[in-house]
Amino acid sequence: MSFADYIDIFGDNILHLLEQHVILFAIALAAAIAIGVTLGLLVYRFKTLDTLIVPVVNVLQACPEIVLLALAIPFLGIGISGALIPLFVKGVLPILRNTASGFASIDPRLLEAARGMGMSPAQILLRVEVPAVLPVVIAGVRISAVMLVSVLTLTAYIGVDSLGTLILQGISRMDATPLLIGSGLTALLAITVNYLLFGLERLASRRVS
Amino acid sequence: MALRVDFRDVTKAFPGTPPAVDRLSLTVEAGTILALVGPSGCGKTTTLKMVNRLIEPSGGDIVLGDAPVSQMPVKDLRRMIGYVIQYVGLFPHMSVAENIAIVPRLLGWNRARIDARVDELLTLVGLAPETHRDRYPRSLSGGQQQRVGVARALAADPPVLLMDEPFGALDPITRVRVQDELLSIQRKVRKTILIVTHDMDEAIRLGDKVAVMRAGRLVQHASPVDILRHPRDAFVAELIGHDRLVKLLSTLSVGSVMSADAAPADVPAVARTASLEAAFLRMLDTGRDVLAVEGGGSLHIRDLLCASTG
Repeated sequence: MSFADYIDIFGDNILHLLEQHVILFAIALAAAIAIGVTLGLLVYRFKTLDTLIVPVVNVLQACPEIVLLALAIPFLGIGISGALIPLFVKGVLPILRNTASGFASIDPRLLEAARGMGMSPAQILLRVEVPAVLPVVIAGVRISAVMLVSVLTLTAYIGVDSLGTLILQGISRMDATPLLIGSGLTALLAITVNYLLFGLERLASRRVS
Repeated sequence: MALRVDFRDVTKAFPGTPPAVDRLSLTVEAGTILALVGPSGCGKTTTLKMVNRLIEPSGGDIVLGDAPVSQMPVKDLRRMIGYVIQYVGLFPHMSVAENIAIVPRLLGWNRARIDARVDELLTLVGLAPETHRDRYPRSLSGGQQQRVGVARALAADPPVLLMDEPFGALDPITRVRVQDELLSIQRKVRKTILIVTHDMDEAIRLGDKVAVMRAGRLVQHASPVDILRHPRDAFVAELIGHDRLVKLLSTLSVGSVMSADAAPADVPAVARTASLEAAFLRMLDTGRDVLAVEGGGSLHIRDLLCASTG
């Protein structure tokens, strides 16, 4: 089937899968940011947690996605949570690492100046530390986001619709058209996300670097 | 407004080491500059940071006006003390105006009052408000950043100013210029200023009094001229350097030692405000042992000898 025919017939379905993919992506990224930033802050504030948290995250990071999916099925079953929970984990590490190193790289004399002027710890966090680490954290988010866009195609293996569904279809039917449409849209999405976040990163670092 | 700062038997000991500051007692009169000088690790920065309680003393007390700092809420204390450190102290993500406005904002001033104050301070430190208000620290030169640092410390009109190696990151030429600017600002604002430096020349230029410290102890506390004339021991003399008497002559003005006697008719003249060093060089240069002082009076080489020994 030619591209034109395929799009003519399955156009609505493609849009539906793209929409599903974006929704999955948004949820996974939000979760990865929440967990990544929290763990990053913990690791920075309590250095001993570093040896506890980082190896675990590293192992999860090194584990192939498909294995994570398979391992999660007995616990989470087949469906959205079974697909999202093992996969969003992939996005945590870059955010965690950038958050922790971003905070660690703030000049301690800057913090002392803030204390010396009578700022409270909360004021120092919000007015000094957060603006200083924001660009670094966003850089981590960008790496995670690009990774998550492509990793999420795997949800198709356990029956959760995403652009991966098209790819899987292409593979099982030996049909290049859905395969190319699925992977092309995934790549396009990844590139778009990358540039959007890159713009945000530039905006946040405009004043700092 | 300025307040007297009184160190009463102040000690700071860290476990396992000799005290960083050992029973320090000295008074900084209201509206004067004290330069704390000494080698690295002598306790001068620790002394400074105990004033705004970034470091808590382990013994003794520091009294601001009538109030011991240990009795004051730490936030209120810090907001009434300006604090200047090397140029890294400016927040890079805040504009010049936002940096200066930090303490006034913490104190809850309204927008109009803050804006007016920012412009007033920028003018005071010699930066045009229109062109500098909205710039970011990284687009400023080291000297400009330091001036903004001083403006920020003065923002809420604090009675006391602490400066920790404020000019350490500047090149020698900028440094002297910014020092002069600080002195001219001080003539207008009359704050009590404690300034930490490892540079004896800077201490002599800026301090109304100089406190020399070594290993946590106060070695000598005197006016710059007295320190130059009579260094208490070899350590102080070494800090001053081999050109001690040249520094002394450059610190004193012609007006402070000249006599009212009329000078001979044909001798060269010097200004009353010129330094004795300049006058001395003029004598060497012209081969005369007496100079006429502009506006009447004379300066004889005898006067220089008296000045150098006090």
